[in-house]
This record gives sequence, structure tokens and C-alpha cells, in this order.
Amino acid sequence: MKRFIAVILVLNTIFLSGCWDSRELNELGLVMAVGVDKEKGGDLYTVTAQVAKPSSASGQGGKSGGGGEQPVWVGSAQGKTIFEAVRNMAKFSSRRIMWAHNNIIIIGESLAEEDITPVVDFFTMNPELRMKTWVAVAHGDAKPYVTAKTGVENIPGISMAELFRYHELPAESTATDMVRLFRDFKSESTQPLVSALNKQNEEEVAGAEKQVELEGAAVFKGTKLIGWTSPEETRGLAWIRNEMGNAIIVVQDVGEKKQNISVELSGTKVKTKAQLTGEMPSIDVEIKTKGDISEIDEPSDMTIDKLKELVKKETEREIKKEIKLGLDKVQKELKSDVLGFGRAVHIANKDEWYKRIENEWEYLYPQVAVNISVSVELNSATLYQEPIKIEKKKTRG
Amino acid sequence: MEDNKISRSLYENQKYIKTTLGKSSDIIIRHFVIPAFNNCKAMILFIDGLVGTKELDDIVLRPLMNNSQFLMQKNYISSVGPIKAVQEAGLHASSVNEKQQWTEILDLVLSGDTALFIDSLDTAIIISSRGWESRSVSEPVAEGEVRAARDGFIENIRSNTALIRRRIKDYSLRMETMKIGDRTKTDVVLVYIDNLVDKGILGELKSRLERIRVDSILESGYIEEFIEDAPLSIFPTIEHTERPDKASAAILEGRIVVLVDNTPFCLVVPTVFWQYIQATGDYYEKYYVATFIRWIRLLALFLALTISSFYVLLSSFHQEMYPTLLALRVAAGREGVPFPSIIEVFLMEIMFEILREAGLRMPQPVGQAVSIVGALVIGEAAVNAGLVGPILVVVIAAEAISSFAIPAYSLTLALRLLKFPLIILSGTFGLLGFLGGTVIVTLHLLSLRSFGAPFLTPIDPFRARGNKDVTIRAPWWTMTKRPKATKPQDDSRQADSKALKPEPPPVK
Repeated sequence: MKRFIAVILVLNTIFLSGCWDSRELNELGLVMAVGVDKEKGGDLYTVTAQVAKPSSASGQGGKSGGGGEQPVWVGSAQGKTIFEAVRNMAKFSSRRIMWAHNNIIIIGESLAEEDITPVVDFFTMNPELRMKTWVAVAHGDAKPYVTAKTGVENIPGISMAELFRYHELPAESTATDMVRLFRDFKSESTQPLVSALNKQNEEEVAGAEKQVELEGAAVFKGTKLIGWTSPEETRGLAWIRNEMGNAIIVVQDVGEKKQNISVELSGTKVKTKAQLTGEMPSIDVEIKTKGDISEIDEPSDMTIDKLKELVKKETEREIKKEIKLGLDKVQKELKSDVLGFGRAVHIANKDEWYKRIENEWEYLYPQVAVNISVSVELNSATLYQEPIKIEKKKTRG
Repeated sequence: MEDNKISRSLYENQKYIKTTLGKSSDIIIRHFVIPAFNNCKAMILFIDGLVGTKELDDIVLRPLMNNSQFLMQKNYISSVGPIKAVQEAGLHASSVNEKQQWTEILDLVLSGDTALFIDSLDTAIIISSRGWESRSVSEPVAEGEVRAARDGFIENIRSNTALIRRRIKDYSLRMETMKIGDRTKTDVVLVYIDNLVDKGILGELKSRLERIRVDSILESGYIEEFIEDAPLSIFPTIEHTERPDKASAAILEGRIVVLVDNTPFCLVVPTVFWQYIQATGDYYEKYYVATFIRWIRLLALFLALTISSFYVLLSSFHQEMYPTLLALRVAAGREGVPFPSIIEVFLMEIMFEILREAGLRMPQPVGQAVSIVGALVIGEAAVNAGLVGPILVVVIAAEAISSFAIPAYSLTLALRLLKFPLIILSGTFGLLGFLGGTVIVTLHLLSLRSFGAPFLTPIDPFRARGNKDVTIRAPWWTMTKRPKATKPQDDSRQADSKALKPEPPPVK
């Protein structure tokens, strides 16, 4: 009997001790999106979490249904640190907050302008959080973005995350996840460029719910937000950062008929190299890309070769123009090395970098000459066939 | 029972029989006279029901009692003596024997033979007359196949040996009979090919069988437990089958088949683990399909063992391992379920085990209804009542279906039992417990042997040749060698694969 009791006790200590970190899935509040704010000059952090309500989020347990119920619950708490704010959320949250399924971290503008170190710190140290979570800086406070009803998906957080997946189509923003932010944040020669979230204007939505859009980017210097790039400027940066997936370039007023021609580009290759000529480093950016002419509005009288040559030149010029726009903004105006030129210099000439340039880079960077060479290769099968519009015109006329 | 010789006196013999066998109603003693021996008294002893009485009339009584024919042999009788004469000229039976020991005689009579006693002779003549009612050869119930022979072993060991003999007409096919069980005296037949089988394994098997000192053997399962290598293991290390073609294939690979009387299930030694996921039909269907199905079975094996514990560890420890949308689905399903997932799983598992057992025991007409009601109760009602989540029902259903996809029922039983400790480990230690459990199971499997053959060969220890019949089912024309696990005396099974591979005729 004694032995039996001993065995039971030993087994109990083994098996029950295993349960200490056991939590049931339906006792957890799965965070779908989180926003962090701090008022200018204030010292309290506000953490806003969008927590999924599984029963209404996945359209199950239908009894409550009817579409009236919100698929998410939003809670907001304050604290002297982010961690304290998160803990304070437990005061009114019926479920334990779980970060593992978080889709997006939104940083408020005023907090970003002050210092993003606590955010990076908290969200990279937390073992529950995935480093592949998207990060964005909001225009204004982060809270309204977390509470916004946006997107087609049931859960707004997932809708926002999906924006990042397709950002490459218009290429007017960039997609930063925590890994990328963390890497650039820690890097000495590259500054972080973080996705920016914006809300649609009144006139855009016309009465409907204001949607969150991924547009432009936030430029950091050190730990602070110093400015924004517009969608057009971000597009220029995307060329150098090699984030152009399937870009469309529209060249206007080509030839004597002033045609508008769309060129679809793909398979872009970018090489950024640094050279050191004397005191001053210079950067060569070489872009090679392939494209198809996918749309022409008027039939052309030119021979194909001639037209291709013309379009090619125009496209190259257009790309250069886009790049110049973005480059001027970050290099000349904001003076933040988000493109990693310092890193290129570092790689090209390690000795010089450590000896001299590292300290001076701050002053050298805005003056560095950037040579951009773009070469476009057009393989246009589309040209051999007349566009449908033209065929129609012909039959009619 | 002392080993007595029979008496010369018919009366004494009859008294002896009465005292040893008692007054059983099925023991028949029939007295008659043999005119050829000057109306000498004689009797036959047999068990009613084990003997075809009609046949007995034709082969024993008519020739001996009918005056005409045996009477004419008077000269022959006087020259060879009565015993020989009765055997050679009197009886019309195909198999006769002389016996003098009571034990031998009674054993044979109890097995269905007939003993003929003649007054003043101290030798009994045993006439083979076994002819009891038995089930006719029918399709094997537990091992159905789409394309395979439709005959299965039955409870009559003679028919079973015949079923094998009909398939293997080799001169070296041997069938060695032993009797095991003091009271049941069950016939056990070892079937093997003499110049193929490894003599070491054969000797080992025989010595293990001889060791068995029990009063009864009612099924081959008794023998299996007495001769296993790892008697404490949860895994069966000896395969059983009721398919004569499967048994024959095993014999042809150099294995030994143990047939046991009164059961359609025979044992196959040595056995390796992978035999449990090989089905007979694999060898008759196209090898692409067979290979694919084997992998499906392997998958089913893992699912049957692990899917429920996986559910437990994911929903109570590692929620981050779910894809987000799935996590929401599972959470939504579990919304309002009052139990932690380990209890939830146990509830369903136990319900399902009860249902499975009930379906097996129910009389057939009721069984159908019960399984439908049971399935409805478990699936639909439990979810609606909020006792379990709908995802768990999918999990349990997948597990149940998987367990039925494994051809060997004995392995399914082992997995059914093993999954419970795995669920407990997963529910208390999470992934760590689950891994610990599976590692222990794997290590245990690695330590097993079946009559000297490592249980997991040819995967571990790895044998490239054996894998032709494990990881894939190679085309027959490439399977030139027998598996190594059985250590066959003769390695090569057939001609070279180049010679065997069929080709279209050359174009003229």
C-alpha cells in the first residue's frame, strides 16, 4: 500500500507539473493587430489590441450570428512601459492576451517621432511574437487604425496584413516586417524605412467606412521618425531596394502621334556598388529589367524596331525620373540613408570606412554622387497583333 | 493414465474403455462377428459425430460381416495371420494402422478415427474415418481483398494443409505435426520448405513449441503468446493470417507457417513490422498503385497513433503552431466547451472505443442500428450539446478511419492502446511529452526481434534489397532475391531481372 501511494505521488508530481503552462485555445485572446501610441511629451504608453472573437470571426457557432456581432474586440490600456500597458489590459480583458497570431504592429506617429526603441525592444524580446509580423507607422495615432473596420476580410487585422502581401503591385509602399525593421534598426550603416498606413480621405470614400491604405513610407534616422515619403517617391525607392515586382510604366506622348504606351516590367535586377575616388565615395546603381509593351492606344505608323527603340528609351528615362524623385527626397531633403548606401561603401572599402568615412558619413551622404544606369529589354510579342481597340476602329471606319 | 497395452479379451477391452471414457453418449461400441474367422467376435469403437457413419458401414462393417468376399481369402488369412489379412484383404479403408497402446488408440479415436478390436488379438486396427461437419472453405472475413484468391482457411486443419499444398507443389514442402495441450491435444502443423528455411529458426521454433506445457490450446493466439520473443511488448511480433495465399507466400520466402487445428488463423514466423502494412492485394495489383497505397497505409498508421495527441498539444500548449485562420476555427469550435482539450479528447476516444466494441458484439441486425445511432450521438449531438468541438470530431473520425486502413488488425489493437499514453503525455508536457513518447515507442520497436530477425529490418538495419518490398513494391521481375530477414538457404527466387522483364517483339 505504501509503495502504491508512493508511485501515485511520484506520477502526480511528474504529470501535474507539466500542466503549468497549459492554456486552452478558447481561453486565449488572439491578438490580430496591435497599436502603440504615446502622446507628445507625455510619459504613458497606450497599447490598443484588436482581439479576435473566434465564434463570430469564423462564422461558426452560428446561433449568435445574424452578422450583427463584431468579429473583434478592441481593448486599450495605458502604462508607463509597453509591458505594463499590456499587463493592465488584463484588468478588463476576460482572456489572456496571446501575441503569436498577431498580424501587424502599428506605431503611432508621435511615438515614432520620439523614439521607437521601446517598441522594437518589446516586440522582439517577446518569445510569443513572430518576427515576421508586419510593422507600419501610422499617420497620426495608431489607435484609430486598430479600431477601424476595414477590408474585405472578417477581421480587420488580417485585411491590413493582406495589404502588405500585395504592396508590390502598385509598388507605392514598402513591406516591412519585424525582422527587417530590427535589422535596419540595429545596423550602423542603414536607416529603417517603414511602411506607412493612411486613412482614405472623405471624398475618396463618399459616406462609406474609411478604409486603411498602405501608402508611402516612413523614413527614420536613428531611432526617430524624421519624415514621410509620398507614394511616388516610395516607388522610386522601391527600384533601388529591388522591391519592384511587376511594375507598370506608362510612357506618354511617344512619337508624332503622341501615344500613351504601357510597359509591363518584370525580372528586375538591381546592383548597388560603391566606388571610392579620392576622398569622396560615389554610388553606382545598375538596373536591368525586361518588359513587354502591353497597351497602346493608337496604331503606330512606325516600324516595330523603331517604336521599340523609342519606347525603350522613354521607359528608361521614366524609371530614372522616378528614382531621382525618391532619391532626392531621402538623400537631399531628409538626409537619411534608408537605401543602404553606407553599407555599400562599407563593403567596397572596409579599411577606409572604419578609418574615416564612418564618422563622416553623416555629412558625406547628402553629397554622394549617385550614378543611375537603367537598361530595359523589350520583348514585345504584343506589337505584332493589333490592339483590339484599333481593330474595332478599323471595322467601324 | 498409465501406458497400458490392450488385452486379448474383448470383454476386458470393453471394460477398460468404459472405465476410461466413461458413459458418454457419443462413444459408440458396436459388436459384430466376422464370418471369415469362424464367427469370431469383434467390435469397433468410434465417436459419433466425428465419424461419417455411412462411410463406416461401407468400409468396415459390410466387407467384414458380408460372408462372400472375405470368406474366399481363407488361404491368405491362414498364411499371413488375421491382423494382416484384415488390413490387406478385409477392410475397404484407404488408411489403416496397427496400434497396441491404449493411449495411442484412444487419442486417435478421440480425433475421429475408428478402432477395430477382434477377440483374442492383442492389436487394434485403426481405420481413418474422420468425417465431421465443418464449415466449407469461404472468403476470409478479416482480410478482404479486391483482387486475390477468395478462399480462406477454415477450422479443419486437414483442409488448411490441403489449401497450402494446392498452391505449393514443391517436393520439399514439409508439414510436421505436433500435439500440444494435455487435454485438448490440439494438432499443430509446421509448414515450411525444407531446402529454403533456415534450420536455426526452425529448430528454435520447435524447441519453443515443445516447451509449451499447458492443458489447452484453443486458438493460435495461445501459441503466439507462448513463443513470442518479447512477451511484455505491446506490439505483436508474430503475424497471423487466414489467407492461404499469404501463408504460401510466406513459406516461399523461407518463413515457417504454424497451422493450428480448430482455427482459421495461422501464425507466420519470423515476422517483421512492415508485414503489417503489406496486404496481399499489393502483389497482384500494378506496382505503382501498390507502392502508393503502401505509403497511404503508413500515413494512416501515423495518423491513427498521433493525430489526437497532436490536437491536444496544439490546442493546450502550442497555439502558435496553428495557422491563424485554423486557430480561429478551432477556438470558435471550442467556444463554450467546458473541458480542457485533453478531457475533451478522452471523452471522445472512450466513447468511440465503446462504440467500436459495441458494434463488434452486437447481433448483426441490431449492430447496424447501434452503430448509426452511436455515430450520430458522438458526432452531431456531442457538438450540438457543446461537449466537444466540431474540429475534434473531424480529428477522431480521421483517426478511426486511419486505424481501419491498416491491414493487420493486431497492429491496430496495439496502436489503439498506445495512443492513450501519448495523449496523456501531450496533454501534460506538450510537444516535449509527445516527442518523448514517440521516441520511447520508436526505441522499443528498434529493440524488438522476431525469431532473431530485427523487427524493423529492412529499414533499420537498412537493407537495400529488402526495401524493394517495403518502401516500394517493386515490379515482380526485379524481385530476384528473397528477403534477408528470413535467412533463406537459397537466396535467389527467380531468373535475372533482365531476362524476366517483358518486352515487345522486335519490329520487323
